[in-house]
Amino acid sequence: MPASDSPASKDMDFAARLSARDERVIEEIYATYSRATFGYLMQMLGNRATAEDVQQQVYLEVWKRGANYDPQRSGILTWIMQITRSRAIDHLRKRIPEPVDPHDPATESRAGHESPLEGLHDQWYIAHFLAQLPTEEAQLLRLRFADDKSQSEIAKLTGVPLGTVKMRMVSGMRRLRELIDADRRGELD
Amino acid sequence: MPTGEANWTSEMDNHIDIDISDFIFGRLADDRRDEFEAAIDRDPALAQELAQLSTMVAELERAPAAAFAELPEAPALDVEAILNADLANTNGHAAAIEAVPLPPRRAPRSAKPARAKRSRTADAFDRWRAAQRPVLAGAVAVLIFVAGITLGSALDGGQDDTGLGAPTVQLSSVSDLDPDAAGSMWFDKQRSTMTFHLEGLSSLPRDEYYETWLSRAGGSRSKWVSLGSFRVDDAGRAEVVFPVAVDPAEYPEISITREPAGGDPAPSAVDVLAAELLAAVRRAISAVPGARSVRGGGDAARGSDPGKSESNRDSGNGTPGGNDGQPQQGGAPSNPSNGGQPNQGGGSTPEPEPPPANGQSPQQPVLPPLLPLPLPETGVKPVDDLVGGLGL
Repeated sequence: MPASDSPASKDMDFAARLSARDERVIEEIYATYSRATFGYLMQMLGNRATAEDVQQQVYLEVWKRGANYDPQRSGILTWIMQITRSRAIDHLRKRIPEPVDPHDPATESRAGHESPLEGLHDQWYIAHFLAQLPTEEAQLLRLRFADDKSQSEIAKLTGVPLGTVKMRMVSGMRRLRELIDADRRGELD
Repeated sequence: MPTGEANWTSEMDNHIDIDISDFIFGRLADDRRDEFEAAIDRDPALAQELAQLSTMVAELERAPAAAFAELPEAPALDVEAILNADLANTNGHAAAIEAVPLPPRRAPRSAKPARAKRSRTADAFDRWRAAQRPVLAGAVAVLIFVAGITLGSALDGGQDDTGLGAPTVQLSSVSDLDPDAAGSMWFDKQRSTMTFHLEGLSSLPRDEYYETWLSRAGGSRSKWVSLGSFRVDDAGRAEVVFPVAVDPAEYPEISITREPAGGDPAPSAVDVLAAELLAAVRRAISAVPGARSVRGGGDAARGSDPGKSESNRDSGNGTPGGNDGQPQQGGAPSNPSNGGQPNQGGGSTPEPEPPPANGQSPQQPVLPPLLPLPLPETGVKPVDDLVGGLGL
């Protein structure tokens, strides 16, 4: 991975441009992280319209508080996910239970997985980084860890030689570890 | 990638990756495992990498299956609203807010007009009215019926009763803090948003903000539902759009409060503006030609039977004051944007929809369903009361 594309340098770039009030940066940040935050909000709030509203609040806050973001303390995804979690909790505290549409995929998703907030946070955190991997590596990791397939079964399912499956899986986990470590470095300091 | 003392070639990298994979997943054959563990002992970098990968495997095994799902598509970001909200911090947004047309201020309600001096003509009219009562009662039923349809279409985004090109509910000051505060709310049922135009509010210090609520009079304030918060510009104005995630028909009032910063999710006791959603019933009835006022409500206006309402609408078409010739979607305020911050309203901006060129609906109008409004349980009014209330 070129140094300029590394997670750390990306965070530094976003931080500098947020601080400089570069208006284009909010769109780039949104393009990079919006799917993870929206997935988290959909699952936590159980309503697409509400999730869309809170999502907008989150990125308004990212823009307004951008000058305070310190890439030395945490990766930008960690920072954004903290804001997302806070705004979602604010919303849940304020509202009374609402009737939900049983046909809404968000409802189905929430009903099927009653994770605590932290679990949801980690889940979408991982989902974001998994989406950054090359497709073939992400696919193998999904088959192994989500579908619980053995490497031999994966090789049969995908038609990829077993040795290649093993190499790609290690490569994918190595890349995933680098992405997550870079974002968590602030927490480990 | 392990570096260690060995000078790994690409082929050896591939080979070691296969060994790493087999080792961390427990698939390494016994003889090969002994050899590999000896290599780990010799190579601290390899040992470190194995430790990290094993941690990664444990983390992935703990993760719920949903963590491996494809990420959902996110909605488009309203960048303009974000940048505008930021500009509002520096008072740069005032001009934009000024450009939003505010609804005409509703004149204060005058006292009940004195009865005109009775004349012989009036007495004769009274006798005629007594004779016509059965007919009038039928007419009242039709008027209430049409009013129910009008209200339903108004709350669904159809009927304009203020000249804004959209149905609105007026908000009035309920506090000495801002006695001149006023505003209006426009409900777009299709998008499920409420657009507020507000004026005459005080600019608050940084540690206070305004918050908008759907509320129930007499009910616990903790049950109020927040629509979102906002600030006003230097002129005391704001224009905000809030998504509505609940059925507004279950909340007969709208309230706007002053809230201190600090994160308490419950509403404060400082109400500054309020409106009765029920007031829309009376306005809808008064929109019917010939009807000046009405006391109380009727079952027909409640629209509590959707199936019945559907057939009612059919019969209502062509009735004076019905929805004939009206656009089904009223136009929206010309430039609704999320005015002040911390306005949480990120709802989509309703686009004005022009009325048909000939003033007629191009097809048989399909009216939206009536909203069941929770009118007070006053019982059915005697017909005479209703007739008297209409001033007939």
